[in-house]
Amino acid sequence: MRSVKVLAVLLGAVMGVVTGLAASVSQGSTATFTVPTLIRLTVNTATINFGSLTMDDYDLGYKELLSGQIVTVWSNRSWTLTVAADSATWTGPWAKPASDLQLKVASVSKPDRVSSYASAYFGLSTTAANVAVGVPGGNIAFTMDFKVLVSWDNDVAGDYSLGFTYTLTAP
Amino acid sequence: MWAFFFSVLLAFGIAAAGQDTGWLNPSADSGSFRNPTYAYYDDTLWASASPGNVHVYWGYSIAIPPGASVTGIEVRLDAWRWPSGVPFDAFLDVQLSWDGGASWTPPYTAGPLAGYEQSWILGGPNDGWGRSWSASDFQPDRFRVRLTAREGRETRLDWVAVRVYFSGGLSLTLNPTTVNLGTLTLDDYERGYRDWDSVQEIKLSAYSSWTLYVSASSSAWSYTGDLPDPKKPCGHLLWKVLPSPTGPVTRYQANFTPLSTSDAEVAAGSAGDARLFLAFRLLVDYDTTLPGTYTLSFRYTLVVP
Repeated sequence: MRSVKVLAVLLGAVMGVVTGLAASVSQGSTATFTVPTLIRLTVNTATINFGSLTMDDYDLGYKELLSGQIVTVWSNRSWTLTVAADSATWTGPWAKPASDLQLKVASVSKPDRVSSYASAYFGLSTTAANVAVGVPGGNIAFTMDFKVLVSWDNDVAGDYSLGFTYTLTAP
Repeated sequence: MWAFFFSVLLAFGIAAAGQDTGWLNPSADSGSFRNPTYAYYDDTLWASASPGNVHVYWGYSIAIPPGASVTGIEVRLDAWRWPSGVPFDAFLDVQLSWDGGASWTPPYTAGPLAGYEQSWILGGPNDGWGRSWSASDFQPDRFRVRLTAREGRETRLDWVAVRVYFSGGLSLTLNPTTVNLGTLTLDDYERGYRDWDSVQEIKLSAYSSWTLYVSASSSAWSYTGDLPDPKKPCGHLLWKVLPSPTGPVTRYQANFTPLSTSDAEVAAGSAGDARLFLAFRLLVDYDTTLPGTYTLSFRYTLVVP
């Protein structure tokens, strides 16, 4: 017991010496940065060209264009991708409704960044429809399939075109 | 001309080897100058004096580190004579007091003043104005600068600033203190990081071998924004010491290192004055870098064992 006490006193003395010799000064600093809402939307091609239709297309009732477009999204906050026709009808020999153009998402490059997407064909209208909804992420690519509906009754020969617009929003 | 160049180089060499307080403003005055407070700051306003006017400025916040030796004092006068077209020489005599105005150094003189504003720097990094100074001499109410206007018609004074040079002791200064990484872009997200386009200079002085540490004050950045706090880790701020620090630096961290709440060694060296330059890199990802403003406090500690 006696030896233990002596050891404790010696240890305390050594610690005191070390503490007494040490000196220090400090300076505080601050790092800061700002993040605005950042979004970007790109398409690999602006034109979806179905080419010339055939009688087989008329018999089938539609012509499909698989992987016709890649739409890519960047957003640092949760986002919604919508699409809408620029007009209610196609430009052409008759007032072909915009809904005759259908699209769907064929595949997604980063499914962990996408909460939901349109995996089934839907027809376009002038009202925006959701293509996909997701969480923050970048370089999220959607491969899009397209389908144009064709009928012997209405679709006379001629050139048809319809503008449509994708919109990315991050509220 | 050659003498001028030599003087400039010599002055720079001495200044680079030591530490200084930077230019400091007065905060009190008395005497017969007109609009005397206009000489507190380097701005567009000025004090004015007629020949024979005497004025005393004090209240300089001069901090000398413990154990440091004062090597020199500079007084800067941004002054000119008025009217500029009148060819009468004008002068400002400058004296320093260390005891609240009871005693004064011999005067140094700025002049003849030009007809336009010029900066006159009297004294120098190794000039004690004829005496040895201690840290207590620089208490705000004790250290004073007395100006006496001589000759001419009117002397105008935009700024009367003081800079004190010292060596030794234990000191640590940062420039700048804020690492402002600016506003992020999508390119930063794609790259995965953003490098600060500047550097932080650390000037230190130690009377013995030393070690410099850095640590974050909290484990996550402070977030201000309209989204849930992403709790961005402090380790997303990386730092490193750029090559070729000056002074007695024996080792330093040359690779980007994540900031943590534990002390990390920045550099170590032997007694003397040293300068380090730190670069910073911010890691950027979509999960922890949501729109908003982020702030992180961190601290350098210079230790002499």
